[in-house]
Amino acid sequence: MNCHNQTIAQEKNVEKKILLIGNPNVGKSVIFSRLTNIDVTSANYIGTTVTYYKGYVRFQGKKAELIDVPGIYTLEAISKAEEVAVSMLEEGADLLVCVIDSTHFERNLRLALELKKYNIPIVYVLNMSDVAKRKGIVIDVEKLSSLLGANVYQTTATKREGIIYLKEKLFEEHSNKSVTDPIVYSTKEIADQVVSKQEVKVTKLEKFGDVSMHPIWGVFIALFILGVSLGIIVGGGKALRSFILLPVLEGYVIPWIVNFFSGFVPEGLFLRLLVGEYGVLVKAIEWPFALILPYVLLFYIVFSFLEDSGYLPRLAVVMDGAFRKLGLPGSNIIPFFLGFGCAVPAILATRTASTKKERIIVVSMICIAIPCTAQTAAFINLLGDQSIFAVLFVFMMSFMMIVLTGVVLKRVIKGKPNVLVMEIPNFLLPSVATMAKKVWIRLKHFLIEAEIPMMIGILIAALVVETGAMVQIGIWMQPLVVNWLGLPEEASLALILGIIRRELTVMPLLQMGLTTVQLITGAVVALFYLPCISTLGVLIKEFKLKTALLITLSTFVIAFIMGGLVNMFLSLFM
Amino acid sequence: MTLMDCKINQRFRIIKTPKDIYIEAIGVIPESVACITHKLAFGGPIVIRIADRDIALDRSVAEQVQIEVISNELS
Repeated sequence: MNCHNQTIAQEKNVEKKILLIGNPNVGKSVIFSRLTNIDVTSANYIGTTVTYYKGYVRFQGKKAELIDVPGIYTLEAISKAEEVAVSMLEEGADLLVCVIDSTHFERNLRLALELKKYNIPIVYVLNMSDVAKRKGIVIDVEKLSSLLGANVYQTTATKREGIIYLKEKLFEEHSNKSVTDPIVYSTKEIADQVVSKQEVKVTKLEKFGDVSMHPIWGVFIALFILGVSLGIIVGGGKALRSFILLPVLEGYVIPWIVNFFSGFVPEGLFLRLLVGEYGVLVKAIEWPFALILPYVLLFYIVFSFLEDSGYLPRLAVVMDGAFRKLGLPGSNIIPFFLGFGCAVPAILATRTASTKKERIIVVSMICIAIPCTAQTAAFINLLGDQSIFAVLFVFMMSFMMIVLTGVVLKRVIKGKPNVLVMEIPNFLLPSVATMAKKVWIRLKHFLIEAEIPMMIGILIAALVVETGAMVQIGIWMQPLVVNWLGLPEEASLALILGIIRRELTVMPLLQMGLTTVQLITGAVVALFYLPCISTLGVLIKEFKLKTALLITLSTFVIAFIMGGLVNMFLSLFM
Repeated sequence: MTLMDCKINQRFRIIKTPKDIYIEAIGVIPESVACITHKLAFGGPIVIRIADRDIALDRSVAEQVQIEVISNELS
């Protein structure tokens, strides 16, 4: 219970603690990003793996804490997300902002009414007003406000409409009058009184959203979209790299660094460690920024676009039939897809998988057979110029192993897979501003996760090469590397580096002048080889040590077996 | 009859659903009127439109949803 001058908010200068709550897909995160600035942090709720975002709303010198509660359909316990939401409500707040999707009004009311049970002031926000208008849906805001006993505001967050007004209202006093009429209204009764629908023509966008789930056309559309996405990522990445990043880095930045350090560091091991062939300052700048970053950036742009447009759940529906043969409901398309970007966020995304068996199957696929963008970029650099056939061959191997992993684990792991029950959200044109913010956050995470292990890896590589330890290691690994895989001795360096970062398995091979068969063998080994250190870290955190080590060992064994088999097979023809 | 026996675009009323909070919370509840909009091939899911929302349901779930046909009008 609040008194007038006391607030729940604990921090200094913060007037109020506000909880932003609502169903998934209502545009809550867009509202959150419109109301807050850059100082947004994400955190796990104590004792859980459920993530939430916290930021601050500022208006005319006043500041309020805003928490983006995970999207939920109900407060009744279904998963950890609902439990966390209830805990947050019980901890208390000064204001609840319940976001409702105007185009799916009735269903959203369930949560809206459940929230009234908490004695916390509440306001309701009818978002997606533009889509509602387009669909001919009209909501009587005044009537709704009196039925709910609370203030109701309308917004279109993607177009910033109604946001400033909402911001101002957040700092005013609100109440939580219980529904005044003694008869308790059901969600249907409220919806019937408040919503009126006019017949309108279906827009082209909505038609496309419908066709994208057609049993036949849907598959073609999916293949088309995936193909175009791949084209944009690879083509755009290559262009970005060749026309902007490489010239700038190799023309200006790196020579400057080399000259600078050569100026006062004496010749010798230390200088070579810094700016030599595998010099930390040279490779640690060139590899992540010129070779990997362009592709990762484009991947995140494409993925965020597909996510915000509402296409991904439709893709899940189309892929569900095939995915179920691998022991997974189609909803796993998201972590699956993310795995092609980077394994770390992909593994974290599997938290929403409903059963442990599902999680392990997806995670195994990601670690064993799905190449991350860094790896893919490295492959394309390694093989692309040599032979397009080589690139296709490697991806074919990846595909085969994904299927094999799913089919085998589906039988081997006990338990039944969960089934698809999923809401299909509106199909929209995403807002560029929201996408940009998303891409920026993802890119920042990637740079932090990738850059540091990579610099360590390069330093180790430099040490190994410059101290001559390379020769010794080459001798130890000879039977495996030279005889079984058919690669030169120096390739052992690649295998050691691969423990640090996946693409480091490929990079050294670029400079060894290998034959096509050797390149493909090297690429196949790199494809299946150990997860990188960041991934291993996440695996250990999210699963038992035994599971993490088992998956890691499998990748190691599969990499060498497949590499040798590929070498033998291809040597017969080429 | 069950949801699986229903044709595309045929309106129906839901009589009984499997006991599952998620299915209920997402909006598939008895007494609601809906129609099937998509049936995917290869054992894929069914998509229904129920009070302005589109919900994808696995076939095994659809088999447990009892319905009664209302009319043959396109919705």
